[in-house]
Amino acid sequence: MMKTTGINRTNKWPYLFIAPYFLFYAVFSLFPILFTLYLSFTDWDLFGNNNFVGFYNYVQLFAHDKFFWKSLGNVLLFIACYLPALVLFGMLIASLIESRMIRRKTFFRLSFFSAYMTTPVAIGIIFALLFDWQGGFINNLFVELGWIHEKVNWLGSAAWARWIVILMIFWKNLGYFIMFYTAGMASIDTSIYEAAQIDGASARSVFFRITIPLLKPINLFLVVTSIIGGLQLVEEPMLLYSGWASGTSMTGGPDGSVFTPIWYMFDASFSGSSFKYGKGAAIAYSTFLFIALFSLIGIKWLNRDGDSK
Amino acid sequence: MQRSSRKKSTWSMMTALVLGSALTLSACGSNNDGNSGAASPSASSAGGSAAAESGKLVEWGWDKGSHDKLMAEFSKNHPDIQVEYVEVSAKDYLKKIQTSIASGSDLPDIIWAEAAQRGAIYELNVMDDLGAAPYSFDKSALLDFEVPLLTNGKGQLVALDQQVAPGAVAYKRELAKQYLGTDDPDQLASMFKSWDDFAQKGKEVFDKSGGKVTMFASLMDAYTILSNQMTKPFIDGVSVNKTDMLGIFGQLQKLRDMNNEAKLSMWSPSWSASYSQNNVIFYPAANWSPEFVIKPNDKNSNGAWGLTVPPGGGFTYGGTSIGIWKGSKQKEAAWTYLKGMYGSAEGADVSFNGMKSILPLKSVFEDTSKLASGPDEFFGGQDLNKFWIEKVFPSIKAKPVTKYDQDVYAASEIVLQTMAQDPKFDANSAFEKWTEELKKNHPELTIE
Repeated sequence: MMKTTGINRTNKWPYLFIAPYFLFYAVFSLFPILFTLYLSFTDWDLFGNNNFVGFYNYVQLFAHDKFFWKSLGNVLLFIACYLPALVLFGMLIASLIESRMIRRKTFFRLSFFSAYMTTPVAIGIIFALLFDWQGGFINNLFVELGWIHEKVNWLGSAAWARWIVILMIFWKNLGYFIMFYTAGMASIDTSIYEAAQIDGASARSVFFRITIPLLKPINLFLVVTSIIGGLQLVEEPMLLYSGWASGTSMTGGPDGSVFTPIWYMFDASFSGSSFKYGKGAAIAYSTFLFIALFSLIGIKWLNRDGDSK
Repeated sequence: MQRSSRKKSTWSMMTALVLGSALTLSACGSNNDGNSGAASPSASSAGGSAAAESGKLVEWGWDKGSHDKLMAEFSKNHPDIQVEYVEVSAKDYLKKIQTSIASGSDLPDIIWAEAAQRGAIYELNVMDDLGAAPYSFDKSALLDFEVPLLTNGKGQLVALDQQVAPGAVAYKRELAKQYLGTDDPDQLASMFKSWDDFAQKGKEVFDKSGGKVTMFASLMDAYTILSNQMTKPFIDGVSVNKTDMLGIFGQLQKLRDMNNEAKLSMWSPSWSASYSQNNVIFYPAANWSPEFVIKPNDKNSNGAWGLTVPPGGGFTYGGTSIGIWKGSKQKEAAWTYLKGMYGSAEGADVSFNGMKSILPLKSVFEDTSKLASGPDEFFGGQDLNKFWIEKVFPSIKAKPVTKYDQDVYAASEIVLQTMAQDPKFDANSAFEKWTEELKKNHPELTIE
């Protein structure tokens, strides 16, 4: 039996060919990752401080920083609201598109997916203009229709601000979910459906007992990537309150209701004049830990049947 | 044996490649606190007058139009000093300076600092002390109120102002006549002895117009005036100026309670649109506002506007200060440029001929007759420069800048949004929330 050892004369070329990738990875990913970890143990700012402070930044974040916990709570709340809605509506609309009732399937797929192709910057600004207090389209429309007498300060209220962000993410990602579900549904062998029909299964039974179980790998992928993306949320709420559209900027929205961990990292390190790189790095690593934790919970939860069997 | 050494050399080659690249790139970001690139003044002054009259300077700025006009005037006297002007938006300026310092890149020879960012840029310790050699600029040549706006925490004068930036209020003449009984700037100024008088009148205007007309467009408009009328800094060292801030929030609460504001967001599209509508009487205005804010937002009007002094008097509003990077290799040329543009009689002529702007030098104000700008039809025939010089400068105020100023502004925006919409949100709640916001990234702050 041939023992596989490291690099030798015959196999050195593959290693050399893949070396450029690892070279770039080491310089542009690994080094920044490790350097950021080091930074999180320092109090580096640009005003002359650059001392090793051990776990001080982490202790401050976890034990004394209500803004960090609030930002984390916000993104978890957003995920808890939009993720089930995306799964539910994504599947329903995908099954409608895939059904015999709909003819121009490509048109509908593209219509829903186009929102996903829109840049988050544009989405943030569009929603800021739509929901502006005095000059926004929504308020003007509702007043014209007589539904409200006084204009509502949508973006000035903590509760409304959260719903608007949830709506933005839902609107943007619905097409993405539909795309995956339609692809998943199209890949299910039609003979399974035919067999179910012959056995007299109702449409409801077919959907719940065939379609959903067979879409499980897609669900797993969508849920886990949504959790990761959801915890990293920043562009949409930031643009909503950047002042680009509304004039006045508002870090974190009213009462910090749409503040997110990554926004906090940006705020501590780059925005304003605190330049707290050590703290920003600690926020980045803490967020990473929570992303790993919640992704693991998501995977375990979706795989619970598989495990029990 | 041979095989093993070949294996080793392949590994060594790959490791060297990885490490070499990593070190090369990481070297770009190493060991720079903004000072390491500093050339010593003595080293750079060795070139003498030739060095002072030639060179290619790099300058980052956000107003190329003005720069080009001034440069055309400046070049008449200093043809061998060239400037490579790089456009950087005012909003991103501090971030660009910050990331350049962190990555160890060069800063421009000539650095700009916008009003709210001045304190932070000064504290980054990247600008040279203009009072020291080789510059030895005498700060007593400046108007007294200017000095704290150009001085860092160590008491060093590190920049010169591009022009004076006096602040007052612009008003709509028609609305003033209809609701306040006069559109004469002097009568309006004397009508409001205090902010309480102003708020009371504002309530009458609101009631008389059936809720259609307000004194200000937003609380932030009023805050802009009130905060710039302060003479003490927002934060002294690490101690928050509670007395003044509570006073300002109290005054803003009164203005809100007496319906003095239209609940718009300052600088928003609806705020800009309000300039051409007849719903708001007063807006804070600096000497740059007619050109950059009022006329662009109310293009079709003529003679509809006026300028008057608000209660509490004149203040400094905005403006840009300019300094020399500590690490510049061309300090003599940079100083010839800075002084020839903003720090001398020559600079005063360049600024006035190029941009009709006035430098904050005492010598400039010895004979103000030549500074008149003539009647401006857009402002009902008012001579704007005469207004600033005669009506605003005598009462103008300024406060020392701090590295917290930009974050103070951001925290105030957040607090005033809440105050505008929540009638129960009073001055104390505002101050509490304001300090909480500030302490988020500045936990070292203390309340007196």
